[in-house]
Amino acid sequence: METTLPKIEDNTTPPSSMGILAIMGENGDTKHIWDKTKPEEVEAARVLFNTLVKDKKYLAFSVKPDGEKSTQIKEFDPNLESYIFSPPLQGG
Amino acid sequence: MPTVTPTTFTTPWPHWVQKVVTATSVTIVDMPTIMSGASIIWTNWCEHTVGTTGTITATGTCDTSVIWANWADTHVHIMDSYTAGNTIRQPTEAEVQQRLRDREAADQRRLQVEGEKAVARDRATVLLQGHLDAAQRHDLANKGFFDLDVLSQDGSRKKYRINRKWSQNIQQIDPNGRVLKTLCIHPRVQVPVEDSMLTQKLMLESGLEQELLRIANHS
Repeated sequence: METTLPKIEDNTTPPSSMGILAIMGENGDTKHIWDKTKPEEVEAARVLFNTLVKDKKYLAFSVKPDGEKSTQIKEFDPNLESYIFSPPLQGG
Repeated sequence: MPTVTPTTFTTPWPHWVQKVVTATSVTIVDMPTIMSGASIIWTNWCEHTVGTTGTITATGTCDTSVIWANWADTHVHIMDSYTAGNTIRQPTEAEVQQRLRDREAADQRRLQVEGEKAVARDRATVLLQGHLDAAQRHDLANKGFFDLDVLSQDGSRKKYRINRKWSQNIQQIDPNGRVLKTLCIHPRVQVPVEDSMLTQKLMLESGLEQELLRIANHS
């Protein structure tokens, strides 16, 4: 997925000022981070979100760790900390 | 690679029988007896070679799939030679080396793909576990599934079990654990199975139960 946002490795905990986008794919998820204090990174995160959700029909969820309930997100919110994107689904 | 002596054949079948019997330790004694199974081999052989005339007399039993696979794997050059003019020649040293290189390259690619898949599964497992509570993590590790209590749009509560497999892995269960229905739904992209499980969990707990039920196949 084309984006200027930096990637982070697994098991890396970014600072609280950073948001995380985890995009599922064939090789597992790819994690990108953005700095909420930098408008250009927020905008890049918004573009990536819209590409995935509006163009590619991915499902976006706002998630919290340890099993807390998630929420489907249809519009990008820069204040949320962590997103997970899943490719579109089909019946098996 | 078995040694094949260059020669000319008017009927390829006896030669094939002779070589494959040697190569696979299969005894063939009566062709009509095994014709039902061997006909597939024979048909394939005829379709890909010339010089198929002649009377066939042999008896015995064989595992045709093993014979054919073995033959197809090790005697391709015979097929090529027949097509070229009914003669068989040994592959040149360069051809043998090229086949070995091709096989090694294929093995390397296979190992690389298997390694990448293992890394992907590990990554997806970590992501999934990070979004389960302690009881769900315990169940997943010990039973291969975890349960979800879902508040449906109609206000009722339902229990779903998400099993660690790609298809037909969601079960709606009653309070006694009996399966009420089985659902099959997964991402269109071949993500690791743990990513598919996490997607299912996220859908069910974020108000997308009806969407999941609409897309899924039910059984």
